[in-house]
Amino acid sequence: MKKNDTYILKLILAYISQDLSEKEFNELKDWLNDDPENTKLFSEYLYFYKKSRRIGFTENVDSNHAWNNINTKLHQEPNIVPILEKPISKLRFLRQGIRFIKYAAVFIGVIGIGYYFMNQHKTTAVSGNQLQIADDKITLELENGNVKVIQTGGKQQRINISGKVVAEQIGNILNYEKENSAEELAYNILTIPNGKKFQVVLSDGTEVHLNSGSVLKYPVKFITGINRQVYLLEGEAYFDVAKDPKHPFIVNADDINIRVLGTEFNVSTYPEDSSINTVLVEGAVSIFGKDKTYDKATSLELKPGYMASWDKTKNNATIDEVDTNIYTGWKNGKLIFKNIQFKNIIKKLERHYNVTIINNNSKLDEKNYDATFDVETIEEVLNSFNKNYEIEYTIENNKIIIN
Amino acid sequence: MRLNDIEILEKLKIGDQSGYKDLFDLYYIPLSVYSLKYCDSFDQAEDIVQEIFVKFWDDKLYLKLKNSIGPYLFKAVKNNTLSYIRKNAKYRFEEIESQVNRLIEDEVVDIENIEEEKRKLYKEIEALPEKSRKVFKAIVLDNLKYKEAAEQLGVSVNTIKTHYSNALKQLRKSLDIIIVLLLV
Repeated sequence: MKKNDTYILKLILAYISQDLSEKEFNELKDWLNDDPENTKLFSEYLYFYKKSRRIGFTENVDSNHAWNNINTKLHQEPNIVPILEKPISKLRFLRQGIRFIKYAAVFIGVIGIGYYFMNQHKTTAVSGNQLQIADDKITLELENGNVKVIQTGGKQQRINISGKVVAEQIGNILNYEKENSAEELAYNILTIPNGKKFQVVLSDGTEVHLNSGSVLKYPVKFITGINRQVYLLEGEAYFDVAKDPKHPFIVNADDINIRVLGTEFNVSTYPEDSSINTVLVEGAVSIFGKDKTYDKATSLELKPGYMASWDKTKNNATIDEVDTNIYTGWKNGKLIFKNIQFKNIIKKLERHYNVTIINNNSKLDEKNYDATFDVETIEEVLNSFNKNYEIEYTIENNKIIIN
Repeated sequence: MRLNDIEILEKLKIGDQSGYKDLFDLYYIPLSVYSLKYCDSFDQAEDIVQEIFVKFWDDKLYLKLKNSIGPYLFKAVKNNTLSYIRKNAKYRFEEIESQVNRLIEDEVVDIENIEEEKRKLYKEIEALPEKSRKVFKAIVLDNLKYKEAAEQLGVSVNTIKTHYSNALKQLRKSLDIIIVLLLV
């Protein structure tokens, strides 16, 4: 059967736009098989169409938009300055308004089901004032007391007093040289400001992720025959401890010591929290008082999937089974609140985003909320509180005011 | 100034993040055009390429590359686009598609090249009857759906299809290559 040209051309167009039925597809296939010339004709149409499409694409593509879009999706040290209409000098500008809905907040708790919130809920909230966020620096205090600023956008070597390279830093990771032993302990202190996160690999290979607002003190090298001891002076850290059964690894966090042989766990000791929390992901840890020495009989053993909360005022611990992801999500840029008082949520937001939040609505302070955020801006977080809990805010003098 | 792969890799390896923007400037459009050839969707092509850029950075893939980035990126785009196509396009003539795709050179896509093609195409388009020209522009170049084009031009979808057919029929004759069939 000889089909008429117009009809075939319509089938070809339907094929091109992938808008054809199985019957039409088979008709087209039969037609192609009828004559090699038909395949040639079809190929020419397809070729011409594809060439034209790419011309159309290059005319319409918006590279700036694409670049911003990519930047909003980065999880790894996403501090590449996005293209903005009006560049803001010196202070790092929070990437507001260029994020899109895909990475929006999912609310649980009061709402019960998660849902996506839309950008347009900026509504009453933004009063024309925009938030500028200071770019505070990560610092490293050396064994001789000198304090160095760590530039995360580069590669640097750390050299000790005798001129030896002790560590190398690439981007967000400070990596200490692996050597067996030192003669005496020399401590470095890493301070992570609000709004930043960092990672350090100690000389035994233990990886430590440090959350915003944290301070960690650790030896440049560990000494053979002596416990590996580090101090989480403040904040939150996730430890992936290198296995070394001969040298127990001990983290001191305020009132408690956490002793491990090789395992993964999270410790947080923020001032606003009433307890020091240890969450075990893998392996086994023992917890004992800071002034005690380890004794299997008197220390508290923790199993994976459990959290030990050391009450700072009562000086005792409780153990609960927990979803460890809630406590370790921060490593991947997540911000997770589960049954947390609003006043503490504010502290954690201030720390995470390096902003100042003033809450004039004291009724909110003691209320507990659940919320999960992925990689939103502070504005998006506030907007979702506005949307879900009707919490109003304004921005004045670079401060966030909640009314 | 555009940097080459080696210069970009050097920047990235020492943690100079401006190298990432250089990489984007150099490859974003060529990669998207490359993906488009296979998937024919403006949005999908961009999504695929953006995802690869994100992965490239998040997984620090530059640490694994030695002298070049382009071949890796093009290959990743091709693989991801084809796997998308295989999942989503129901009715395809695989052999003809790959035959035609091979004819469209792409690794060497540069803007000048495309500008030249564009001038030629526009010359041909200008010769079309007004309605066919408008419909062709709307559908092929501006990526409108039949329905959107119909609304914009105030005609029915069927009329759009007719003008579109007429435009393609005439424009095909302007093709300056001869398709040599290698198909069996």
